[in-house]
Amino acid sequence: MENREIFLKVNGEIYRMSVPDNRTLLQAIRDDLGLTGTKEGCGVGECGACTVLVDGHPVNSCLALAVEMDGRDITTVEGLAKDGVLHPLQQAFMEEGAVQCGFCTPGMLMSAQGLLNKNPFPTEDEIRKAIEGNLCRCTGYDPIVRAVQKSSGKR
Amino acid sequence: MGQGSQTVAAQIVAEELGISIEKISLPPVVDTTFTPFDKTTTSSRLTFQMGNALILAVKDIRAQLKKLAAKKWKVAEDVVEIRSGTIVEMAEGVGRSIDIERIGESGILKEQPPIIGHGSFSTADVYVEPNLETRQSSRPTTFWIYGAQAAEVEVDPETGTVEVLKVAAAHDCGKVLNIETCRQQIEGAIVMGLGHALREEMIFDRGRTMNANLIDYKVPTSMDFSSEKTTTFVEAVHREGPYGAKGVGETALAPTAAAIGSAVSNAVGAQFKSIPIKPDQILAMIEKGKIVHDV
Repeated sequence: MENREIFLKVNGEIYRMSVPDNRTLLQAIRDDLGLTGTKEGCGVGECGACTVLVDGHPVNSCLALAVEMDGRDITTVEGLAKDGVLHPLQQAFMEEGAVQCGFCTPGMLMSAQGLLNKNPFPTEDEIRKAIEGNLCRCTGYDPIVRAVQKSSGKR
Repeated sequence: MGQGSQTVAAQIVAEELGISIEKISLPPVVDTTFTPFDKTTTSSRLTFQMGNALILAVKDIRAQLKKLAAKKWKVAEDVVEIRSGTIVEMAEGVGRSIDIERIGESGILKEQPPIIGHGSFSTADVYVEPNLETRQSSRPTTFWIYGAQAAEVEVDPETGTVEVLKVAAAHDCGKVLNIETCRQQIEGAIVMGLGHALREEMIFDRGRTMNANLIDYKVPTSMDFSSEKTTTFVEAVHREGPYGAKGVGETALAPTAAAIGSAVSNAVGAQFKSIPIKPDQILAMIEKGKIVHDV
């Protein structure tokens, strides 16, 4: 398979890349750009660990092809903190004990940010619905829900 | 890996040295290339084993600090003590002192060999092999962790679905060294237990796992259980644990499926004997008993 030239905009930076057509967005983010915050949990779109935002919407990056994302605006977990200052969501996750092993966390943060982009003051049900596709085995979800509630309306 | 063992390690060292926890740094990576050997992190025993090893290592550090201070002050070692994070000279009048947090300024480390504390701990010597005939032992294990859980559920007799309204957990982990991380272990375990009780099932066909994926093996999602969860700590201090601590991880999970199973059995009026308990089984049990329930 030949490589195709694409431009990926990730966290505000534009990267010129040369990738085969079957390169997933997840592989491009992790292996080509070295942004390893996004995790591969299952590789088949069932766990949500690979969630990133594409034009503000949560997407399983393991199911998206890099070449499909040419020209789109992608946000990964590395794009949340600004100038070393944690995003309110990240701060809230820490304060509420919403992180244990941390593997689901980047995906959770992106799904939560995707929700808050559209709905800055979500109800508990809306939060649970928004992270329904992000599996967590450690926390039992309550602290994550509380963290999203805590940071709603901020930034 | 997120269970809080490194946090507890830092807490213990800070407590033993009498300094602020912010002054403790941990290796960024734990790698068997350079870390000391441990059998496994199992039996929910890391806090117990590692904690005791750390206490011994810091005891070693304190002894070295006293020696260096005594050398600097030109006094006998037995007049030097460490109290609340300060090395003090026990003398008439006002003795000299050094705050451990500011030890770099004190000069006692200058051109001395670095201070490295060693401590190791194992429970091999406390284990008593069970008698071959009676199978009895006065000490078959290092410690037991106790817990009890109760659940309140609502069963829909039309659909067989179960809503878990509340789970209450009471656990004796010995002295709780970190309430937040301990509670996190228990709450996370409760949701995993709910999954075992009501959702998770490995399906085999002639030796092959048929549902080895996260769609068909149903791990609880955020939508599954928004039940109220309460945690109570019963701190029965263990005389050999670090500050009396034992452990929590695995035993937090042990009672949950049984509690749910008992609650569902109580609701339906018949005993379920296997998990997961699925709606079709509940409906079959209700049908079999022709039990009519009030709403």
